[in-house]
Amino acid sequence: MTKLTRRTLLGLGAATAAATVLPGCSGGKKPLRVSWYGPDPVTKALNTALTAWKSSGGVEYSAESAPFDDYWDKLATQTSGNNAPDVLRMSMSYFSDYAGRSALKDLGSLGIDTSGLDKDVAGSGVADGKNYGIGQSSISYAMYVDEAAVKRAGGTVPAQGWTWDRFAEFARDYSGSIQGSYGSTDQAGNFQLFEVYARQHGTELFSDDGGKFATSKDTVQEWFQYWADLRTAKAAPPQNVSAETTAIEKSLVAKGKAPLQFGWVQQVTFYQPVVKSPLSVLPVPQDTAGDLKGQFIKGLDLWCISAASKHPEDAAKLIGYLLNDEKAIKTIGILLGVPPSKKARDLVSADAGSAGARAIKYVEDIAGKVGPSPKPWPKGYGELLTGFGRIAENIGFGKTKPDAGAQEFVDLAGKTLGQ
Amino acid sequence: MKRVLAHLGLSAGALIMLYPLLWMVSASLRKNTDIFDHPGLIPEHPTLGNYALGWSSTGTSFGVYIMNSLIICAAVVIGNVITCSLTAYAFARMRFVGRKALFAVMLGTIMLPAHVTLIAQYSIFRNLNWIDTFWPMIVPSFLATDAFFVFLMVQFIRSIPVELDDAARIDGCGYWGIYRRIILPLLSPALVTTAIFSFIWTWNNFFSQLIYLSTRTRLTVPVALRGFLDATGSSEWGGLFAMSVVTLVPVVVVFVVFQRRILAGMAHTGLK
Repeated sequence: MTKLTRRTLLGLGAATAAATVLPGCSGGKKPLRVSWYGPDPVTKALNTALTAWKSSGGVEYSAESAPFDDYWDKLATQTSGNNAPDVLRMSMSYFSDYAGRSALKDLGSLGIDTSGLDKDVAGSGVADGKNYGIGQSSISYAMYVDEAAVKRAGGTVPAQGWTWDRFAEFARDYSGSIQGSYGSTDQAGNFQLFEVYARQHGTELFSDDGGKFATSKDTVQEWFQYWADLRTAKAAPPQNVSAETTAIEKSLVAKGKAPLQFGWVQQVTFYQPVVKSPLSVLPVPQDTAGDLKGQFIKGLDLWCISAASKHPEDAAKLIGYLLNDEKAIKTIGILLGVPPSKKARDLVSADAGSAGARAIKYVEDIAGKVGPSPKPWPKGYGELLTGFGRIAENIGFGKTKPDAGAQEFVDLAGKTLGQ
Repeated sequence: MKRVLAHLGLSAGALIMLYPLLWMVSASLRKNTDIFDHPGLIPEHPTLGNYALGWSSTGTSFGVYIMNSLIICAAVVIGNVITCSLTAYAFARMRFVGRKALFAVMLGTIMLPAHVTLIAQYSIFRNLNWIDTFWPMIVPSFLATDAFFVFLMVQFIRSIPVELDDAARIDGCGYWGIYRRIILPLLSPALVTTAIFSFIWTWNNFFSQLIYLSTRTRLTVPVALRGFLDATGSSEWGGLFAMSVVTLVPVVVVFVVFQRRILAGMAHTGLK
């Protein structure tokens, strides 16, 4: 009996194996895989655009999407498993990691029509002389101000810009005049705002080849100290408050406990629904009032084609469609950021008076005044981004001092970059 | 008097433990903007809107995700119960070459972080053409890959007197007969424990489901729930909490139905 059963078992095993393999063996041409990150509205809009593409003669596709953080876990696994999607949304924070590991295709010969793109954006995906990505948006850093709240507190926001000192003064006055409120949110850990600050102090963040941290330790220390002083003066909230108010719905500006918030320009459209009065979109504080050379305009999210893609021509056609087709432009609106071409902005900005229209106007207003856009962020940028935030948090909780924190960050940058 | 005090103390403890759960239920009944305004549990303007919204807001009915999760969980439970018990039986009762070494290797896989094997696994499943299907979640459980359960059952089987096996052998049972007639019935507390933990862990398993599943209609509950949140945009907290409550229902049902057996299983297997 034993022998028989053992053989039966074996047969059973083989049968299950065969049965389980079968469903995977779908023949025929595989659909074009398109993958992106973003909140629900982005996913809905892109799905609509893709459906329209299909019905206007595009090839069969399959769509994948995930929230930002999860997207990178998945993409990293897919890429190393040699199964990356054909068309993928790439963030500048990870761009060099993927481009540098030859995971992205050179788009040079694929004939994507980029003639309408803003000049700064057209070059955003260039690394080592090759174009690995097409910018989805023209964006810049900005400050969203609840001017009604400022007025209630008896303050004013200077129309022609202000210095960091003047900004600190404003924040202190505001906190002093309204109980339980803060004049500014704490931005000490905001590496992207710090990039503007560093450029205002005369250096780029990174050397041209991306191998070195080009900003001095003193500037980093000055930055940490600036926010530490604001916290001490109660002009910015203590660290435990900041730590609990990171999500948009929980943010201080949404709760009416701070009159302003910093972020990439298009994010104002996420904040606006949770703030009662209209948010103005303004440049971040400057070194010399009114001088916007520290800021820059760039395409921070890109459409890329993975190096392993089996049908790059179709992928290129799809990117061209999303970029240039009027219907697609209108469907996507400013969900991916302020559109990167004049034509697209004119199509989208119809909805005057909305936060989106103010974001578009902001980009157009500052376009001639900002400095040159920096090179793509180097490999390891993502690590520095989180490291900067972690160190700032440690300073905020009193575990380390601005001086030591700045040194720690410079050391981290030295270790991370140029590998 | 003493008992009253003990009850009061325990009730207070239970309430503290339950607060996050109650808060989630309460949050699911509030408007998105009200959720973080008040720490209290009673919503001012209770609404069921989040449930309707969350159920359909991703464009695919949430029922589809629940169904997918249930399919995977059921398969994993069956797979683990059958194959882990067979493997454990072999390790505990049979003498074969390399048994000790293989047992050590099996234990070693418990200590291996999932991330180490992730990419190799992914490549295998890709070559099998199984990406974006349920197979990568299901098939390993039919190969007794969950060493934790194997170990659990090996320990359990070792506590069953060998004399029972001997008696069965005298009555004409082979290895298969002993497994089916002697070991399996006596093993039932461990099997129940395995089934329940397989269910709950698979139900909550986020990472492999995120990595392997892509098509909207094939996503599972944990992956779908994450879709409500996004660091780069606004998050739909109301929908998230409402669907989290819905997601808890199957787990609670499993627990209520098997409550007695869970406790017995824990007591027998020493798993806490």
